[in-house]
Amino acid sequence: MGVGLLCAGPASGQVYGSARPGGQANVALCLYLSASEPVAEWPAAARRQQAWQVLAHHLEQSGWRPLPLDQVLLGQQKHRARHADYLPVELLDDLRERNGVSYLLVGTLFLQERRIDLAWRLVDTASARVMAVGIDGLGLEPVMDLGPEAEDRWLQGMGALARNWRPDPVPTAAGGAEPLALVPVTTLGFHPLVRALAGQALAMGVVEQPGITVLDPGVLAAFLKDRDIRPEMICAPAGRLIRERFGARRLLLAEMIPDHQPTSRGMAARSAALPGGQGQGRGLDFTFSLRLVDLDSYSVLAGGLENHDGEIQSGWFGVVKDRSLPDILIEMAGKLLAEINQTAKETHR
Amino acid sequence: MDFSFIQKVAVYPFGNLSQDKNASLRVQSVFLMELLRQEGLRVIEPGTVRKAAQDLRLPAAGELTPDQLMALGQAIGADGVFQGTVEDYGLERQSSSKTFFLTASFTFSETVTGMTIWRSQVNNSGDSLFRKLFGGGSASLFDVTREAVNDAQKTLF
Repeated sequence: MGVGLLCAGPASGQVYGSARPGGQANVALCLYLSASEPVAEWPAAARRQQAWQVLAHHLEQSGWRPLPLDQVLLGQQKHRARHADYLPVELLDDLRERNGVSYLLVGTLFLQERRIDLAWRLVDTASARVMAVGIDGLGLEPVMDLGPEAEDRWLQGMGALARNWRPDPVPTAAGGAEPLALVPVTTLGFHPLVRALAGQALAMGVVEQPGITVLDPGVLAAFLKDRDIRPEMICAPAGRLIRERFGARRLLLAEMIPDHQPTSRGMAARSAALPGGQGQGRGLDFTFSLRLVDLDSYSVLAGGLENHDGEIQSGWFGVVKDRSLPDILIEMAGKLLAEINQTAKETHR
Repeated sequence: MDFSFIQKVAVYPFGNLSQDKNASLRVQSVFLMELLRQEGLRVIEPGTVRKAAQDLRLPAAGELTPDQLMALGQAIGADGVFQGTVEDYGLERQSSSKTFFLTASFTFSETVTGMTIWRSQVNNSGDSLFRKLFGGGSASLFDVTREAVNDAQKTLF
């Protein structure tokens, strides 16, 4: 797949935050927790600390030097970084200058009754660019209640998740001269998990493309929020601010709109589709669209639209096609990015 | 229609008369994407249009008066503005079968004069003679929407 319109500038070969490859690097692991019922009844702070320790231990074993949790929390509190889609650039500066941290590893752990999903991004603290991004998840065996048995199952799940976790910088992520600004996905009426997964799937698709660097969506979102700019109303002056502050000349906007059908499958089906460990894509009908915007002219350079039908689909011999929501979103994001490159037309600059 | 004098266009948030609160957003999204396939047109980012509408205190969605169109055109530098209204949208049940349908109207107005120079009304359903004869359910709501939008835009370009 060619990079087409997504790549605004020539590849410079400049490498940001190169401390990691071949050696140890300081990393700040910033972990957030999102739990759906009935898992939400578990104490969140303790749960987050447990998960942080499991993941930090794995990082240490993989050659990273994680910043202690109390120092990470201090930075988060100071800069009011309350979720993965709000990372003020001052937090990155602080981590780099005060703590000597090269990378911020920001993750959101989605706890569901029968599933754990970890959506994570590795951000270079010097350039605010995404160096790696991923979604790691696994299904959990069902238990009867949320007692000690569930505790054990959850910790075992975290251990298994951490063992397969590889948050290493993607070599191509440092290749482009001008970063592509990626705005967190705008969604209507979806569970926060869906929104986060959609943003993550999109970031994964973009980061994997050669010659493109991506400005972290959390950093951009914080920048916009601090200036009272809503993502769905990014106009020419806002575009100018982004261009001046981060050097980005192109912006990628994404929207997810549900196919609301008031007579049959509506909101109930949609929210009910989430907690299950399997078949999260079932009953979830939506349209996922992308727009690539030129920040000089503020016109749309290209766009793509994909629809997902949540009807249960059967393949050969009546085998039900049951895919997880992350898989569906990753595939859709890949198709959309390909569509944007394919339908690339003359830019007007 | 000769569009050589129109280079930069905007899509104003569509109005919605249907029971489905997301219908206009969905139809507008499809309309915009199909518009991007047209050669020689520059489409202004919808965020810019929404921000200008807010600053000019225009209605959040629906039809604009000629004066409002001229003011909007001046604010965002658009030569023309597409508007639309979703009149009916959703699912129709007949005995055991179900059919998706869409009825919508679209207009295009010049911003220099505020005059409407194109109007199209489309009605499309997921039912077809082929489907009736050979079985199979209704086309999806997405396909019904895209076909309707394409039918409308074909009368313009």
